[in-house]
Amino acid sequence: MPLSYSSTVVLQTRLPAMRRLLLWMVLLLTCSRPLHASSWNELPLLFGQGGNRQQITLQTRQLDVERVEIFSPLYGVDQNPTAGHWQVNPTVPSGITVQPKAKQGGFHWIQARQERGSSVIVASTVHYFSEPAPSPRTMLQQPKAELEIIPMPLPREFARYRAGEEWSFLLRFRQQPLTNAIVHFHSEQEIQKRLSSDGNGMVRIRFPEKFSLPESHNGAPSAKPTSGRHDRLPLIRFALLAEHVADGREYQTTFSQSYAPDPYFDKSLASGAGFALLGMLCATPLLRRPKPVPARP
Amino acid sequence: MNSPFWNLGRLRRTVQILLLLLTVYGGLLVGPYLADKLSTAFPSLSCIYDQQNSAYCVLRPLQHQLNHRVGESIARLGEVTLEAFRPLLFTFLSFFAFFIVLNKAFCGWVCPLGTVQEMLYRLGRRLGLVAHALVPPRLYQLRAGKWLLLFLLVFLLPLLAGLGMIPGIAGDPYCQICPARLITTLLTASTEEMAVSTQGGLAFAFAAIRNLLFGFTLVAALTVRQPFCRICPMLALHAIFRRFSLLQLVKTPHDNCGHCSLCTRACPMDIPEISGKDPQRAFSEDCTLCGRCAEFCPNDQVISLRFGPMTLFASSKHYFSHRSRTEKPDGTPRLCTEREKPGNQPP
Ligand code: SF4
Ligand code: SF4
Ligand code: SF4
Repeated sequence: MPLSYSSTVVLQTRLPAMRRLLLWMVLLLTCSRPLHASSWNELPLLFGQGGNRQQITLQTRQLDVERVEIFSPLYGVDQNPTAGHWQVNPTVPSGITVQPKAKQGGFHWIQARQERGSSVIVASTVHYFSEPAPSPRTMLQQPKAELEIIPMPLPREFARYRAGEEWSFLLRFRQQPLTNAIVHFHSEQEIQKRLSSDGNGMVRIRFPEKFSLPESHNGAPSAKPTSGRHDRLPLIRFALLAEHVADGREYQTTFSQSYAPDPYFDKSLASGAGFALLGMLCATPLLRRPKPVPARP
Repeated sequence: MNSPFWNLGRLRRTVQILLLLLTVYGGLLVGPYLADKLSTAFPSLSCIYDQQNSAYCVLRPLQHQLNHRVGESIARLGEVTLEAFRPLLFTFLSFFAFFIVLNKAFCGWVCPLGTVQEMLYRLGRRLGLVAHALVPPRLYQLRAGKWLLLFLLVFLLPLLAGLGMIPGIAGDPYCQICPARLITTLLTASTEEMAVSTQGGLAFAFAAIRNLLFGFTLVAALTVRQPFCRICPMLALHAIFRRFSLLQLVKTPHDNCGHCSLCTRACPMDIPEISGKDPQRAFSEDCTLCGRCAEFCPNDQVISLRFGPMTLFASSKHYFSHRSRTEKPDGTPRLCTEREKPGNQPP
């Protein structure tokens, strides 16, 4: 398994010798099978299946979900702790339905959790409800799970992740940045990348340039444009996956979203420049000086 | 306001440049999210398509809400409900929170597209290009254009798109053709709004019109003052509310009014009413509250900019004599000739 530098440091410095030995044995056993998913279909995921201004329906995959938690932009802002954080029933066959509370819109962080023995898996995603709301900055900064991949920042309300663009994410464990740790990028079109966090725990990902139109992929449906997004762009799902071992427990987390084609998809910049030039040409007669009126004899 | 260096024109230019920087790049300071913005119903063309802007222009939420809230709600419920108009009401209220203070000065002092057009016109004067003034009846014909764009593209078509009577792509038709979308994004070195759809249809037509308007405005602004402002729907929206603001343009006619017309020549919108004798008509629907008419009126206290009971700036003989030494009313800079240099004037 890919053992990160920082998890090795924890093992070497903080634990008493006997426990360390035991842990090394557990780790060696788990090393015999890769902990990280090797393909898109093996990833533990929580993903939106379309929605509207009032609600979103989500599905989980490769997860036996115990709880689904919602964090609204009021999380960490409002004094009332239930205003910004609540749970929904994870066992609805038609999908998990999430609605904002009391017409409170904005970015909502949604995460599904599974705990089995020493393994803790958290799959997370973000959905935007188009009603006025505070900035999601505080909500993103607040701890929501042990191991987290936090978008820094999220694409703003009318934007998206797009092919070819570079975006940053913070990898942290128990609120501390995880430095030099491995993060895996997977797209539903089986594009994979192995990335590493820097000295501040930041992971920079450049979304793949190549964008072929997504089809329904092995049961995981392609992302659909959801509320506030009526640009009808094709979208490709992606997920970031990180793992960490501490105190004898294995933590795995995914953050999934979708990305759109690059801004020039189905568009021509040259034609645009041509029309702009034509507009300029149409205005050039204005630059001519009017002929002087001949003086009367 | 009459020091050798500062005058109202210079002050306005400084404010315009600072606010152009703020509206186009201010998102880098205030933050990227909607809640970070100074306003989400800003009374000038601070474009939502600019990823780094600090405020969102009001025309976008107006179209969006008429389409997705009002139109779609009527189509779904089969009746008009008050709830459908709630977001629209909030948009107007937040627009008004700013507008009540600065009125149409959001055009003359704040709008990035207005500033770019003014800069281009100044460049045209420096290059010695011909200057065209728009005069009636063509001026009056053009005035109708902004009302047409406001009612058709900002109000009617988005509503019809929400009702499902026209294609969804026509749900924000003014934003589709708005040249500010191109100018502000190009200022952030992004060319993506210039790209035209290769799929044909309405998306192609809208983008083609946007680029044509953009190109035309750029060149026309070298020789005609504020060419796009003449048909800008924001100017029409301001005109509806212009009497409900603290900042006003006030005129007390003088005997010379109706004859000298210096103020109309100074006016970037070529407004003939400002030089007339009727004080009620002086604050025209086309005014951008730039204050140039007050700067170039050679008579005391005839034209003034007032904030409530306070006079912020008033025309005066003294100010005019200084101001007109450096610039002609039509904006052409006056180069100090040998004869005009201090000490060389005839006795
Ligand atoms: S495209 Fe024009 S009208 Fe639309 S948000 Fe941008 S500046 Fe405002
Ligand atoms: S009228 Fe001119 S200055 Fe006013 S909003 Fe429109 S483009 Fe800007
Ligand atoms: S009337 Fe005066 S304040 Fe209004 S636009 Fe013309 S010059 Fe500016």
